[in-house]
Amino acid sequence: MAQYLVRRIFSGLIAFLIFTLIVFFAFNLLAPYDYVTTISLGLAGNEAREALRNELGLNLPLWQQYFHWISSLAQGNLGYEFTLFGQGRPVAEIFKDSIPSTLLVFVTSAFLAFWIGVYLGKVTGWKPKKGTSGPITVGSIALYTAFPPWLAFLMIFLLVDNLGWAPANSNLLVNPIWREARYSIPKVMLFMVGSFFAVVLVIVVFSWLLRKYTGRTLPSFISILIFIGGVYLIWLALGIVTHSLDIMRIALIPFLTFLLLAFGDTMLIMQSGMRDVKHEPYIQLARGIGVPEKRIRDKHASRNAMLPVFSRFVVNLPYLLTAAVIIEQTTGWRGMGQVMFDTVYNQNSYVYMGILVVVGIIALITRLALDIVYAFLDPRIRYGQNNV
Amino acid sequence: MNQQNSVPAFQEMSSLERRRQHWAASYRRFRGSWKIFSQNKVAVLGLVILIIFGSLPVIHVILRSSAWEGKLYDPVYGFDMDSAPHPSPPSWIPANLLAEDNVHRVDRNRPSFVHLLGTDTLGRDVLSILMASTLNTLLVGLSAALTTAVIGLSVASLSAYYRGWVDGFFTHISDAFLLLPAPIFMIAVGVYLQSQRTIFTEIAYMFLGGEPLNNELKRVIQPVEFGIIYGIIAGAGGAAIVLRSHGLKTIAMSFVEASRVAGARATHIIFKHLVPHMIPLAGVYMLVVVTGAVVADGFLSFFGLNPNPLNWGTMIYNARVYSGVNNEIPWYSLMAPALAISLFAAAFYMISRGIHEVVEPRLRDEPVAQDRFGIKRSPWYQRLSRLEAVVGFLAVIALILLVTVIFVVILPRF
Repeated sequence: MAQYLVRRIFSGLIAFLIFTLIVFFAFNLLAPYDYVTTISLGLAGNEAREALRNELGLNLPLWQQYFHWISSLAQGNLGYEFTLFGQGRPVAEIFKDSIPSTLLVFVTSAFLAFWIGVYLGKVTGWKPKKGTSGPITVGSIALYTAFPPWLAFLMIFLLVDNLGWAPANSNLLVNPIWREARYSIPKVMLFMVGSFFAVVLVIVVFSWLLRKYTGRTLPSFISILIFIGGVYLIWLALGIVTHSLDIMRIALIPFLTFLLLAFGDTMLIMQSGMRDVKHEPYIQLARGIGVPEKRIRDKHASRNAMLPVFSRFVVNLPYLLTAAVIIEQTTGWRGMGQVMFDTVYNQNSYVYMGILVVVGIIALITRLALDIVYAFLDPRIRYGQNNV
Repeated sequence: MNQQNSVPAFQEMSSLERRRQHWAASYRRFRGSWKIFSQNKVAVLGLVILIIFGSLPVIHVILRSSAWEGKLYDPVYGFDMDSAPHPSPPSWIPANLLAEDNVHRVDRNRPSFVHLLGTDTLGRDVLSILMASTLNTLLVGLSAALTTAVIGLSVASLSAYYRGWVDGFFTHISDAFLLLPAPIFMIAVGVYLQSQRTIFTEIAYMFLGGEPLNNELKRVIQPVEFGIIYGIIAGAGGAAIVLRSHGLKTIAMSFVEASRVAGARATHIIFKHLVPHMIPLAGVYMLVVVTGAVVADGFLSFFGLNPNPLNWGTMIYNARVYSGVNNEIPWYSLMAPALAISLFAAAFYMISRGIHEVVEPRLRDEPVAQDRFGIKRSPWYQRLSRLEAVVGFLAVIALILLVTVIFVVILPRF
C-alpha cells in the first residue's frame, strides 16, 4: 500500500510539472503580443514600454521567465497582477475576492446537479417505464448539449422579464443594505457556502446515526425542512439574512443555468451504469432471498453503478472552470470566470495561469484521493493486477 | 450453410475472389452491427437529425442558384427592406393597422412565407444564414473527430505495445492534458489569433517603428484549424487514456500472442490487431469530441472572438449585439442557431450512445418490443423488405422536395 501511494504521488507530481510546462509555453508562445502591447502602450515611446517590461520581468527570455514562475510556485507564491504602473496585487489576494462567488454558484450547483443526476439515472436505468424514461433521457441529452449562453438568456427572459424573481441589474452593490453591512460581500458568500455544507453534513451524520440505532430512514421532506431551518438559524446568528437573500436573488440565474446544464451528464452515465449492473448475479441473489426491490436498487445496485460516475465527476472538475467562464460572462455574475476571461484577453499571464494551476492542483489531489480510496476498497488495484 | 460450403479454400481463391469474400464478410458484420444499432431508437433519431443537417449545405447551394437568387437571400450581405430597421412601415402590414402608434410595435422580423424562419435584426434571412453556416460546423466537427482519433489511436497503440518507459511518458502527458480544459484554451486561441504577426509585419514594424496594436490585422480562425487544435487537446487527454486501457486488454489476448509467436513485426501487430480492435471505441470518443468542439466553436463566436460571419455562434453574437437597434430581443435570430447547435451536438451524442452499445455488449438492453404472443419483434424499419425500403426512401425524398417547392417557391409568390 505504501509503495502504491508513493508511486501515485510521484506520478501526480510529474503530471503536474508537465501541466505547468504546457500552460506556460502554450499560452505564451501562442500570444502574438505581451501585456505591455495589449494595454495600448503601442502609442507610448519605446523607452516607456521597455521600462515597464523591465519592471514586470517580461524582457527576460521565455525559459528564464518559466523558471522564475515555477520557483515562486514551489514557494507557494502565485505571482502578481500586471498593471500599468508595474506590479499590482498578489494573485492570491485576487483569488480571495473572486473565489467565494464561484464557490457559491458553481460548486454548490455542481453538487446538487450530481445528486439530481444520480437519482434520475438510478430510477430510469433500473426499470425503464414507458412514457417517462424516454422523455427524461431525451430531455437530459437536450439540456446536456444545450448552448450555454442561450440557456442563460432563456433563464433571464423567464426569471427577470416574465416572473420578476431576479433583479435585472446583476451588480450587487446597487442595494443600499450593503452600505452598513458588517461583512464584505465575499465574506458573506463564504459564510453562505459554509452554512450550506455544514447543514448538509449534519443531516447526513444524523440520518446515518438514526439508521444505525433505530433502523429508520429520514424522510426527504423532513431533511429539506431541517436544511432550510438550519441554514436560516446560522444566518440569523451571523446577522446576514437580508444580505444573503439579496445575493441569492442575483445568484439564481447562473445557479439554475449551470444546474440544468450539468445534471444530464451525471444522469446519463448513472443510467448506463445501472443498466450494466442490473443483470449481475448478486442482484438475482438478493431478489431470490427476498430483499425488497427498492432496497436492492438503492443499496445493492446503485452503489456499484456510482463508481464510474465518481470518476467522471473528478475528471471533469477542471471543466467547471469553462462553465464558470461562459455563464459568468453571459449573466454578468462576477467571479473566477470573469477574472479568467479578462486576464486571458489582456495577457495578464500570472493571474490566469494561477487560476489554471490552482484548479489543476485541486483536480489532481481529488483524483489521487479517489485512487487511494479505490485501492483501499479493491485489492486488485493495490497489488497491480488491474494496473496493466 | 450451403453457400458457406461452396466457398473454395482460401489458398485456392484468386485475389478478386478473396477480396469479394472479404467485402461480403464486412457487409455481414455491418448488417449485424446495424441491427444492434437500430434497436436503439435514440441513436436512430440522432442519425436522422445528422442526415438532415448534412443535406442543408447542398440544399442551400441548389436554392441559391434557383429560387433564392439575388441579394434578398445572401447570407452575409443580403437584406430585406421590409424587415430592416427603417422608418417606413413594412409592405405586408394592412393599411388599417398603420395607426401612428402601431408602426413601431410591429414585429418586423417575424417568420413569413418569404422568410421561413424570419430575419435577423439587420434584415438577413435566418434560414439562409443557418444553412450556409452548417458547412463550417460540419468541418469543425469532422476535423476535431479525425484529429482526436489519430492522436488517441497512435498514443494508445504505442503505449499498449511497447509498455515500459514509452507507456509512462505518454501516460504522464495524458494526465497533464486532462487538467487543461480545452474550451478555455480555445478562448486563448481565439483571442490571440485575432492579431496576426508574420515575418513581413515584423520587418515592416522594424523599419516604420512602433508596435502593432491589439485590433490590427484581424483574422478569421478557419474551421479546420479550430477543429485540429481542439482535437489535439481532447485526443491527448481523455481519449488516449481510455483507448490505452482498451489496447492493454487487447494485447493480452491470445491471438496477439499467436501472432507474436509466428514472428509478426511491431507494425503488423499494431495495424492488423491493435488498431482494428480500438477503432469502434475511438469512434465513440470521436463523436463525443464533436459535441464539445461544436459547442466550443459556438461560444467562441458568441464572445466575438471569431469574426467569421457564417457561424451559428456568430448569429447569436449578432443577435445580442444588434438587439439595441430596435430595442427588443431578436428571438428569431437567437432561437434558430441555438437550437441548431443543440440539435447538432445532441445528434452526435445520440449516435455515440448507439455505437457504444454495439461496441460494449454489456450495455445492451433486452429488446422490450413483443407482440401479443410474447415473441420479440424488431421495430418496423427493420422489418421492411429491400424494395419497400427503397420505395420509402424515394417517397421521403419526394416529400421533402415537394414541401421545399411549396414553401420556398410557390407560397412566396402570393
